This record gives sequence, structure tokens and C-alpha cells, in this order.
Amino acid sequence: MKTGAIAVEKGTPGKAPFPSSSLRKRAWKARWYYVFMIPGILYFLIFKIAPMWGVLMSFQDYQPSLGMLKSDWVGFKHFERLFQSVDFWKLFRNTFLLAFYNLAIYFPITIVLALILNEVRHETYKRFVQTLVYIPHFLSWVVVAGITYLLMGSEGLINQAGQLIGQGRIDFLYSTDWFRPIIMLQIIWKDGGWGTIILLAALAGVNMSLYEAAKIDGASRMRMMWHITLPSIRSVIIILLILRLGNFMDLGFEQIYLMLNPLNREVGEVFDTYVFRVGIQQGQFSYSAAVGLFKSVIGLVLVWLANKLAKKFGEEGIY
Amino acid sequence: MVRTKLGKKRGQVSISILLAMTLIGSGCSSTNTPTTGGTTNDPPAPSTNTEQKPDVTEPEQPFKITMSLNFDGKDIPKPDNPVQKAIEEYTNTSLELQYTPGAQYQDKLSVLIASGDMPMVVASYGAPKQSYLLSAFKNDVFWDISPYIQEFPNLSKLNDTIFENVAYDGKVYGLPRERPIARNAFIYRADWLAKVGLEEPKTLEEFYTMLKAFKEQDPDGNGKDDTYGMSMGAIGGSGPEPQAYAVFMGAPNVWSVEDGSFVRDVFKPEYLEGLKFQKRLYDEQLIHPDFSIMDRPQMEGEFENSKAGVIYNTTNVALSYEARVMATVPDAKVSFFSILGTDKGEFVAGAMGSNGILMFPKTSVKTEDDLKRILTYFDQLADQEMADLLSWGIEGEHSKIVDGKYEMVDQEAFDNEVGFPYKWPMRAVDLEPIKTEGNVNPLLLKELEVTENNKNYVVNNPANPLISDTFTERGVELEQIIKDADVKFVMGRIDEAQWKKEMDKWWSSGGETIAKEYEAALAGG
Repeated sequence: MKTGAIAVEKGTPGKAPFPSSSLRKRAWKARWYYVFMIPGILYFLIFKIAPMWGVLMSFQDYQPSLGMLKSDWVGFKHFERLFQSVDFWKLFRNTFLLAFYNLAIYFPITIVLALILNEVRHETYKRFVQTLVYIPHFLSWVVVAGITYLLMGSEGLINQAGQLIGQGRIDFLYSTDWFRPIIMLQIIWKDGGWGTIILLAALAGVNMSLYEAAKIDGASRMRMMWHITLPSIRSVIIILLILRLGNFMDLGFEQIYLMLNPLNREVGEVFDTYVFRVGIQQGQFSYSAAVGLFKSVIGLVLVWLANKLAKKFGEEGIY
Repeated sequence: MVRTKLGKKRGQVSISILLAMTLIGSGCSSTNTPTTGGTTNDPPAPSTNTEQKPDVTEPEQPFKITMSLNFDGKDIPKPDNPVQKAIEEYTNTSLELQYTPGAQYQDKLSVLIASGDMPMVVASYGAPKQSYLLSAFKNDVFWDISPYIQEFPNLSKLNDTIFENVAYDGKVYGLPRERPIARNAFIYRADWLAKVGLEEPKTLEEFYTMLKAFKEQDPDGNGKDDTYGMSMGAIGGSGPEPQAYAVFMGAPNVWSVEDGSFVRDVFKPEYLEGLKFQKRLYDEQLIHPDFSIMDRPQMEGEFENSKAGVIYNTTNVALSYEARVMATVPDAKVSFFSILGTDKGEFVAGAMGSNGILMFPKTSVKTEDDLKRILTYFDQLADQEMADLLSWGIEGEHSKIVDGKYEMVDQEAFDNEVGFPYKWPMRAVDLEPIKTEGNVNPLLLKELEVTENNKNYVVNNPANPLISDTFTERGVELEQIIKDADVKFVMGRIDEAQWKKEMDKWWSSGGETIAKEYEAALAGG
């Protein structure tokens, strides 16, 4: 930083390589910031922007043997196929509902969990609980699905216990009614703790003197939570919410794929599993790319809307 | 005052959090984007071959062949094992084999072809009708081997039907791996059957009686009600498909041609009868209540662990099932049958007659001479000496000769060291008639007998040699409608009327187009 500042001082008065442009001047002034940004920019260029040329594939009849350059351009053929597919609305509804539940149930739960953890005053106990709730995140979905099968299969633990107390068998795994609750339970169990990390970081940054002042004024713990803690992390919650919306349609493919069977496909099939089955497994790359692009466009629109909304309510938004 | 301060603080917090998230995000962003082209292709197997010394004195260098093969065994053998050495020596080749487990092979194949970086021999898995294969055929990615087959004494013996079933546009883009046309079988516990005092079933009703006895008469004799009839996998997975029963009852094998137009089996009353038979098995708990979510290892486990008395698979695995059951029940006996008669007669569904094809990409097999050299290799595998090696393994290790006849010593070692890695993935011509005869397990004799007998009753799928563009593009999606409806019907979630409605949905959302396309293909070709 210091060298930068010195260089600027030296350079500014009579240097004038770009005398006309004040933008350039300012850029030169901040050149070291730009240097520091290079790795980050490169990361996005190489890993995020560059592969985007692949979306062109969704407007082609991509044939691996011909490559991108020689494959035929077919316009919106693959999108037409998607929108005209018998399953399109089913897929859309299933994806949308699961995504909505994710947002409406899982997300608030992480906030509540973070608030509860934040209120725990015993440091060691807090750490212990935190570690416990993080652990499931590191299990793979295959393990989670395996546990679910063991618990909820027709001869699983829950059904065996149910039979002992004279309950009939519940077909959790085949039931269209149980599919979404099971998916949500899995998500909450696996990632509930993980979702609190960023919120806890934000909570740690809340100014302690505010609590002291409130205490002197006689505020109860609940009141402090409502009037100090929540407002302090409001912008973080909103940013998290907007970012989640960007991936709104990306439900965990593995999770849903593992829980899918012919009897719950009606409610369980989402775009991701559909693309895998119909697109990837069949080597129909263009069609897969088209569905992927469609999902991304929805994500983009949602982010844009949410950001606009956030700004309208006086929040910062993400851009 | 407090408010502005708080606001400022908030801003700082959120920026630092954003940064933290970018870090986390970049660490975890392994979201798969396979749409951007061949990203996950594996390079051809690392050269493990060390025996490529520049041997100038030798007049002809061993010809190096690289292959990508499906693998259904347990352990992939080391390349310098005696079996591979013997093959390489006889055929004067040096082999670089890249194996992928069968279950993942199909996923990998599409990517392998997409990558363009293919070894000299690429196996296809299942019927070569996947869209990525057909488009590769269309673009002449692989050699058409039909002009050359006649030059090879062994390969030319392959049946014409087998070639027709894998042909595309009159051309044959790969060497079919022959197998019996009808080889599906109900493999059962013969010791259980004796225990409950029944004979091998000849009709569908007798089969039902057998399953019922397996459930109710405590065939394993442990005094507990812990056995059931048949271990069955998901429809569309491990089967048996409703088609199998439907064909017994006289339905066509998937498609039938009536007055030049194609009719799907699901619109025949026999198909529904077959489905009702499965429903009966489900309702009486003669199959596992969770059958529709069982994968193959789970389903096989039910049979191996003596929970179920019957399993549906192919004739050639009966022997290996017997070995696996005997691991826990030493005096277990296994046998099998293919056909169950009904009042309509005796029928059995036929298949492609080959287990995928071995394809030769033009990018790696550059010249006609190279192609012929590789075909020579596969031709040589059907010579007497190689047929014996691939059928009996190495004498003294896998088998022995008693009174001039071969006898298997260690079936399991043979399967792992010869059968799965070399015989099944690489041999094109059936070796049974070529190999030196031996004293074999009665199950192997029965296998020959059953598959030979099946030929007399086989019902073929007339669509096998035909191509329908709609089926290629959307077949998987459409078949799912039928399979899902079948499972729901068997499990009693939908009734007959609802099931029929699903079939109409299949017909209107693409089935009809497929039928029309097959019709045109049949008329045109």
C-alpha cells in the first residue's frame, strides 16, 4: 500500500501520460488494488465466463463427432421440445415447489438455529453443539438416502415401531404425499447447521454496546433479539436470500435422484433428474444444455427481481 | 445516531461476509456442468506395458491394440498376468485394456465418444441404439466392417440375424458379441423345491404354486416365516419385465406387425394379464414389497442369502449364483428354466442375440490394414487354442485334463481371471461349439440345452433391426410412462382404467409416431 501511495505522489503532478482522462488517472492511482484483483478476475474469467460459450450448444444439434464448429444450428428446437414435452409443467411444478419449500422452510430454520446458537452463553457447549450440527453436512447424499431407506422403508425402523404399537404400515418411500416432506427433512438434517455459519459470523459482528445499552434500559432477551440482533443481520439475511434465489432451480440432484422411484416420480421428478435421465445418459448434450440454460435464465430473473425489491425496501442488494 | 452507526457496521459486516462466501463458493463449486463438452473423459489407460523393448531381430512386432471394455467382474487383473500373456503371444499383439464397470459403462461411453479421443476398440453396452451411437454411425465415426467379415473364417460364421439387429442403414459399425437369442431364465433353489415336494414348473400356474410354497412351507427349514417366492428388481431395471409374462401368455415381444402396421404389446389383453399376474405375486407378498426400489446387488443378495427362492436373470449366471448361495448353505442346489407354458402354448421372448458391439473408431484405427489386423485378432480368439484358453483357463490352474477331457478346478478363479476380464468382453463368436469338450457342471449342460430349446419357441421383436428417430430421441422418456404405470398398477396405486389412460398418454405423446416410423422403416428397408 505504501509503495503505491508513494508512486502516486510521484506520478501525479506533471506526469500526464493520459492527461485528458480523469478515469484513467484514478485507475492509475488505484493500480495496486487492480493488481490484487487479478487472481479473482482470472478465476471468474477462466472458470465461469470462458465455459459459457458452451451454452451455444443448446441452439445446435450438437454431435460430438462433428464438434461445435460443424454441428448444425437448429435455433430454438430444443427449447420447443422442452416446452412441448408432456412432462414440462409437471417438472416445472415439482421443481418450483421443492425450491419454494427450500426457501420458505429450510432458510428460516437456519436463521432460527443461528439465533438460538448465538444465545448460548456457555462457549464450550456452544462449540460442541455447533460441531454436532455441522457434521451431517460432510456425509454424502448416498449415506443420507441410505439412512432414510433404513428408517422409512416398508420394513424400516419407523414402520416396525409403528407395527408394534398397532399402526398400519406407511409407505413413506413410495408415497407422493411424503416425498416433499422427506426431502425437506433430509435437507434440514444435513445442511441446517451448515447454513448457520455465515449468519453466525454476522452475529459475531453485532456491536456489543447496543446490548449493554438495551440491558440498562431493561430490555428482555427476546426484545434484544428482536430489536438488535435481527435488524443487525438483516442485510446479511437479504443477501443470502438473493444469492439463494440465483440457484433457486438447482435442487440437489443427487438427493432427489436417490429418492426417486416410479411411484413418486409424479411429484419427484425435477429438471435436474430429467436432464440426467433424458439428456446426459442418452448423450443428448444439446437438449441438456437447453434445459440448463432455461433454468439459469429463471435464476437470473429471480435474482434481478429480488435485488430490485431489496433496494426498494432500502437494503443494499448484491449489486 | 445509533441508526447510522449501525448501518455502517452492517455494511462492513455484509462485505466481509460476501468475501467469505465467495471463498466458500469457489471451494465448493463443483456443480457439474457436463454440458460444456467432453470434460470428464479419461485418457486412454496409462501405459502399463513395459514389454515394448525395441526387439529388432523379431521380424514382426507385436501389434498394439488399445481397447475400452465393459467389465462385470470384481477385480481388474494386472496386465502382465499369464492369461493375457498367452493371448498376446498367440495373437502377436500387445493389449492395453481399459475397463469400466458395466453399470457405469453406458454413462461413460457417451462422454468417451463425445471426447473424440477413443482407443482402437470401443465396446458398446446393450443394444447399440442409443442416440449418441446412431449419430456417430451417421457421421461415419466408426468403420463399417461388413465388407471385411467374409475374409475371416471364424467371424463369418456369425448368424445374419445378429448382424441385422445391430446394423444401421445396412452397415455394420461393429463386431457383435454373440449370445443366445433367448437366454432369460428363472433361476431357483432346487433344494427348496425338493423340500416342498414339487417338480420344476412347466406352466405359469405351477410357477405360482412354487412361489407360494416357498413362502409358506418354510423351505429353509429354520422354523421361521422368513422366506418368500421370488427376488425381483425394479421394472425397467433388473426385471422380470411384464413383457416376459405377457409373452408366455401369447402377447407379442414389445411390437408386432399386423397388416403392415406396428402394434405395441401394451394394447394387447395378454400384456395386462401378465401385469395382473405380477400384481397377484405382489398382493400375496410372493415378491419383496420394496421391489421397485431394489437395485441389482440388493436383489441378488435376497437370493444369495436364502431369503427368496427364485431370481430372474440369464442362463449363464446360474452357476455363479449356485456358488454364491453355497457360500452360506453348502448343500444348496440351483437350477433354472426359461419357458412357462399357458393355455396359449409355449413362447419365450427373444433379444438382440448379441451383447453390444465392438466398434473401431476411424480416428484411432487409421488404415484398412490396421482394421483388418484388429479383426484378425478377434478372429483368432475363436481359434481352437484361444477358445480353450478362454473356456477352460490355464490348465493346471483353472482346469485340469482327466482322461483327455477338461474339468474345471476353480470356477471362481476362472470367472475372475479369465471369464469377466477376457472372455465375455472380447469374444465375438460363441466359443461353446469350438472349445474342446469337457466334463462340466450339469448346469452348464442345461444352459446349452435350454438356450437351444428356446430357439424353437422364440418370439422376436420385429423392431429390433429398425430405427425410429423418435424412439432414439425420446424413447427413454416415453418408456418411462409405461414402466411407471406398470409399477403403480402392480402395487395397486392405480386401477385398470387409469393404467389404460397412461398407455393412451404414451401413444399420444410419441408412441404413435414411433409406430409410424417403424412402419416406414420396415417398408423402406
